[in-house]
Amino acid sequence: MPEAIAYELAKKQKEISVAEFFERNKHILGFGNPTRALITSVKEGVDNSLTKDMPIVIEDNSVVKIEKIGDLIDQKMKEIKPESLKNGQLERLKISGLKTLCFNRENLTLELKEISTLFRHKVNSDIYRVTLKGNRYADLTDYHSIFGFRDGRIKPMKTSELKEGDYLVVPNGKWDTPLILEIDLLEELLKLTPQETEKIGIYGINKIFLDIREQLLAILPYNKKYRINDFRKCDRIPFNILREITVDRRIFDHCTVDFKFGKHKIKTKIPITKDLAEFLGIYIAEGSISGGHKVNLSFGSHEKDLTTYVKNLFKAVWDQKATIAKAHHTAVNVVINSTILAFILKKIFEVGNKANTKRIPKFVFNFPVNYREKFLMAYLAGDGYPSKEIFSCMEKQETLTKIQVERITLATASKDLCSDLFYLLSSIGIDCTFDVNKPETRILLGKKANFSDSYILYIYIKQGISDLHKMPLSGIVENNKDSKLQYSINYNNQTQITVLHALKLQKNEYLSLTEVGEKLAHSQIGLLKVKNIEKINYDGEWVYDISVPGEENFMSGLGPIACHNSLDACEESGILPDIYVEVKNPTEEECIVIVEDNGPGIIKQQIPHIFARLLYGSRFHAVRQSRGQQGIGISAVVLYGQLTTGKHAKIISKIEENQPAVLVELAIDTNKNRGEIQHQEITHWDKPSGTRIEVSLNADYKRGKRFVYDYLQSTSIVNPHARIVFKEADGTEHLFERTADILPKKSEEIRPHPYGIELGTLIKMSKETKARKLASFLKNDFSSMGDRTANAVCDEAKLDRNLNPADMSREQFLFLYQAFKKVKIMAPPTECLSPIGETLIRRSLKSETQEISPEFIFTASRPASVFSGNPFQVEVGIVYGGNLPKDKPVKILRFANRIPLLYQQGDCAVTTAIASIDWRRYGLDQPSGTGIPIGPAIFLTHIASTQIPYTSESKEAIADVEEIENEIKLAFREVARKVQMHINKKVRRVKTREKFDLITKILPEIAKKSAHMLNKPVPSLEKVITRIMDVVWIEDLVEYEKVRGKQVQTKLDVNNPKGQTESGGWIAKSTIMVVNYKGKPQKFSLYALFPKNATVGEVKPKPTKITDTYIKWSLESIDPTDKIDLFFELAGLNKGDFDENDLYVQNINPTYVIGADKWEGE
Amino acid sequence: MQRDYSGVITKIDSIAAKVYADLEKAEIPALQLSTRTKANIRFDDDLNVWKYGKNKTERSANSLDGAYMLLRTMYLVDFIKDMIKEKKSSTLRETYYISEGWNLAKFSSQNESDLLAEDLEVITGCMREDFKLRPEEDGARVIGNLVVEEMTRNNTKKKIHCQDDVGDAGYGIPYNVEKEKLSFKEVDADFIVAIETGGMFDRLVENGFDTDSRAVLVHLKGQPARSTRRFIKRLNEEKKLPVLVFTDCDPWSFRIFGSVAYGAIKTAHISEYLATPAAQYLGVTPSDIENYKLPTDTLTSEDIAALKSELDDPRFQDQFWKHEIKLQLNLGKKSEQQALAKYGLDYVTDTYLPEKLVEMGMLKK
Repeated sequence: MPEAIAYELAKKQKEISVAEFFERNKHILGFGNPTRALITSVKEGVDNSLTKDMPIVIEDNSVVKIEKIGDLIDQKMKEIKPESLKNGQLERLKISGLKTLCFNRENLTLELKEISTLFRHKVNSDIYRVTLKGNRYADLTDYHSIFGFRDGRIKPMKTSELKEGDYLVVPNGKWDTPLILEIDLLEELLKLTPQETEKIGIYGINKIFLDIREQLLAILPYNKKYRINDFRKCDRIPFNILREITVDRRIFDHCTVDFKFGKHKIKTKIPITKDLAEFLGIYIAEGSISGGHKVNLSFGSHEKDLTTYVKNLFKAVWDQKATIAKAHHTAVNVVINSTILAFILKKIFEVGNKANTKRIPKFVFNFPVNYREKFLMAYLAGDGYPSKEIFSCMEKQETLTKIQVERITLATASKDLCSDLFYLLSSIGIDCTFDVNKPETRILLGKKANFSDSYILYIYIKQGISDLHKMPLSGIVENNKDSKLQYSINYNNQTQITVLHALKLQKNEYLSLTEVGEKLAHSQIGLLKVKNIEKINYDGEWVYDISVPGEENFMSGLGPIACHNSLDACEESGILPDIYVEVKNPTEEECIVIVEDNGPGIIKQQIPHIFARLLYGSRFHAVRQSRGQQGIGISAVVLYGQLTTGKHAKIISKIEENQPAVLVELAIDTNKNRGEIQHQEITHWDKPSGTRIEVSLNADYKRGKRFVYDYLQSTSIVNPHARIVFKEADGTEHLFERTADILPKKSEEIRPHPYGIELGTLIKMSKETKARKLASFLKNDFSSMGDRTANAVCDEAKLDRNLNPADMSREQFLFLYQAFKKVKIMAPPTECLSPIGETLIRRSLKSETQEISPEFIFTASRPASVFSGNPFQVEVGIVYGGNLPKDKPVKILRFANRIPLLYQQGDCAVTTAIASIDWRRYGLDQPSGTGIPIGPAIFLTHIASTQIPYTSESKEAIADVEEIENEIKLAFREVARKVQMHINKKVRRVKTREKFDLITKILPEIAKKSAHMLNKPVPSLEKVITRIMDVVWIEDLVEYEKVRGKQVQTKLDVNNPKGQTESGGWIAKSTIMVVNYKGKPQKFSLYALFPKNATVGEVKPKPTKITDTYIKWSLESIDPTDKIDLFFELAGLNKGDFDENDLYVQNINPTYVIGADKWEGE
Repeated sequence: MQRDYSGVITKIDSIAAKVYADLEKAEIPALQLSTRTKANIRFDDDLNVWKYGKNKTERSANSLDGAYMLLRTMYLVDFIKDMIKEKKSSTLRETYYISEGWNLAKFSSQNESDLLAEDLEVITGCMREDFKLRPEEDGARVIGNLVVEEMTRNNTKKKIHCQDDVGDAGYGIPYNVEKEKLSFKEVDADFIVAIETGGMFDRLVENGFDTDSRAVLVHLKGQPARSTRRFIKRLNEEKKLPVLVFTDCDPWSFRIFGSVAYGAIKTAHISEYLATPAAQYLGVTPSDIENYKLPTDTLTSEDIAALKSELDDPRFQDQFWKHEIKLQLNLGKKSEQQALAKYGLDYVTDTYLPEKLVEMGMLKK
């Protein structure tokens, strides 16, 4: 009877645990044979200890505005539930689409950078108000830190450590914001609710009627189709229809917008003009809206000129006629009755209504700098003092600086407006001082009137008077020879100097500036002294913080001050990894693999989860850049060991210095797929913290030993910050020393990109998202989705943006999924990747190939690229020459996400790419131009990506993805070109060296001999030399000098969270000799390139220009047979990073020159 | 006998002067000399020999190699002047070794110094001997009814009869065969036979050919030395003896004939001293191979290339040579002179040579 049998069969079936699966399929995970098993075990052990990298994506939201950090964070955390940590004390929300102003810690320039995370922390300590000279202030907790200048360096300082007189960093330059050149009225209206825009219509649609006719008919209910004629007659469609039709909104460019029965129509595209800027400025000063339709600006009756000006502005900007009406005997109004204008001002420009709620209108911060200034001028012409002078300046279209006063005063009842203005002024590089007028009770018109606080700003027009244009002397100015200054310092307690004065004295060589001083003088930041620090009462529940990856600072305060992301800094461990690997071989078949590191250790409860549970710990759709096998890793080793030897893995872990370590013996229960502690004890371990694992397994030591060595060597090349020790069974120790003292750049978790997502994943994500609206879901759970794109996708899918993802049906998700493909979505940002960097690759290779004494090493790094929505970046290196065998195929080292790929070379995309390049033209042998070339070289490839496409489960080879293959080819071509150029250069040099020998050695001998024979004097050789050589000869030499104790500010340090600088390091000294061996004088420019991460020290003679990649000299005319010596120093490099100058010339025929190539521009 | 070397000194001084003058004028110093290639030889009707044409090459200090050569030239010229002053001479090999002390001007190989000496000859028009430079090579052997008078190293004159006073090896031609060193006293012979191989020379001597046929036998020893050629030329001109050249049948041997009769390309500047325009080619010709059915070897590719090159050689442009060379190319074979032994050791003296001599009008029959 079939039923019974089925039941019988069902009884026998059971769930196969992952562990059992593994037992039968070891080869999938790299345990197929004993040699592989050894290497895989070591690999997993080592992988577990190195720093974990996760990429993150944040998208740009281009409208710039000033928002309160508390409001902003509270609002965001209301929309999306944040993570709660530390028992609810800390709430954290990762977001995308926001940027903030910070200063670049290397260049000291101002930038807008993405915010990655929002934090709010329950108030648990005192709050201090730090006030600076000029009265700007910031309220901070005592453990928060803020950027300042101390001991000659710019660094973060804890609030609790601040004292009066300390200097803090503030912005002092113009900000570049994303420019908005016109306002798309339709788009802005679409952002409002349909109720708000109900009564608005679009006019002038007859021109494009045919384009929209079909869709209109489609939307109109069957019994109202006649309305289409109405539309035609009135030449108007209701605005809200736009929400329902799909059309390229550009067709409405010529249309206007107005309320029904309105008389003043406004164009759908409002261009940003100076008139608009001025209008908005004046409006904020003097404007108000009443009755929902009256737009009113009030002036004193004596301000006739201003009034006329404003009336003209109305016409110029809105094409509308304003009326001038007398309000009362001292006041005049300029009025327009226009509902649409009032609406736009209120809802779109968000100007605020009452005097104490006024704000700077939306978009103003996105105006070009000069228009921002126009806005300010207009505002000041209305509300500033002395307004007459300001107005006359405005009329003449002059800039603020031309106003013939020392300072301008403005007062406003709106604290927010005052703050906005402070920032706006800062954004165009103008300093101001802040003050508050406490309210006073005044008698006005016979009645007691209460005035609220009035906030005042003093704007300094002339440069040099404001404190912002001064620098402290200490740590900035050195070797002062100016007696007046010295006197002032000695007797007048002068502690600061204006920047201009300092630069002038420097130019005339009366003093020199330190490196920091030099940077500061040309930077976009300034230093202000702390005037006061006092505790304040704070009645808020939370304090707020944000994280800005990379620069770790943001401008904040009433009046911008540079604050540090202290919370993030606390989370970093910043330990440079030391890894110890030992393999013992007690019997023929058995190996003991030991891996030890100095990391933070693992808490006891987690040990079984980490080491003894397969497929544990991976959130399916969180695209995490992990270093190797995902989720299986070390547990597989433990399992394999248990299977083959029956012995249990031993793990020692220590998490804190003053606590003992715990030793655990671990087994895996394969039925339950769980780890079980067989035995544990407390033990003593000398390290401050770390993890150690010891596993016994069956492995072929003899064969595997060499692979282990190769693997560890390769690993050390691509992880230059790690120090690896490998002890063999016979006691031999190999040391792979670290070649970099900084951790690799941290990258964070990336959200999936819509292009790469599967429908099933999409649905799963929707069930797990914290967002409650579809638009927020898209914006926050995916990368590259900002407001515009999210809305576009929703529109395309015909879904309401406010739908709750949890309520959506499968069909709706299908529409959404298809919409992804149809809407143009930006590529994921690629700053999330953590490439190794050319300098470090080179250094690593150099150190590892020392015994080979290679002839040269070249590297190339491609810019990041994308495949299927995943960012990736290719870096390559070539080691050439020396003792490498000339007649064997080149050695190929492949790496993916800093892990060496040791097997399946033939199947790998890297190999395919290399084989498809014709290497014969680069000096290598390659029969028929395809295949692996033959020659004395090592090729290194590293691919960093959030998702490496492997060919199979064993993850040893990269799949043939076209984009990746292309990038690899491009990278190798780039480095091969460098090789070729180097060889050509060498050949040319040899040739010219011959000529050089000729003229320096042989020619004089000929002259001497012939003179001797004829008994005549030796003839002069100069002219002959130039005729023979007929070139401009350029020769260079790079030497290294070790420097001790000198404070060398190196670029690489900026990423070090502890903020240390190297005291001592190498200075590269480069000498360039230029000799003119041509018959005529020569005059030209010379460029010397240097690596990006180096800092330039002394340069002689004074160059014309220095950027972060080259130095340019415009040389004076050199006579025939004359020579010029040039010299420059570089810091921040290791010895040998830079050993040959890369020189270029300009304004001279390049064939005349030996030793430099033609300058092609940047 | 003292020779006046002042002319030589003037000529070599002019080399130094040219270089010096160039430097003074701020020009790159350079020396010009005739190109010594096949393309640059032309027949001089007056002298009846082949000399260099108009093409010149330049050794200039513009290149590293040229500069080195100029330096070496200066040193060599200075050295020659010294030798002349000190009344010493040196071999080419010694010169090469002496250059070791010239620092930068050191010769990198013997060949280099030999070539430089030739360059000097070409520029100045003097001979090596004028520079007091001697080669290693020795002259050929002579057996015949001829009396020469040689000025020995003791500065005495000695008479030597080239049959009675010499052994089987014959009289060895010294390196200097100029009048002050060697003169011809008496001769009783009808013609001179210049023989390429030593084996054939010995055969003829053993067979008594010199007495029977009244010939002066000269063993060329392969490509003949200058002294040998000079000797033959002087003997031919002074004693009016016809010269017949008897070699193997292959292109290299034809060249040997060429250097005796027309002048070598390398010494074209002094062809008038060394070449014997009246010399005639006796054998072995490709026609002889056919007529006498001689044992042969196949021509190698180098042989064929050399033959083709000779077709272009201006010195071999007459009817006879063109016919013979083309014949040989068609035969594809070469033969040695000693192959005549096929018909017996005496065949050459009994049959072959008499037949050839009648053909050429040397003997009457």
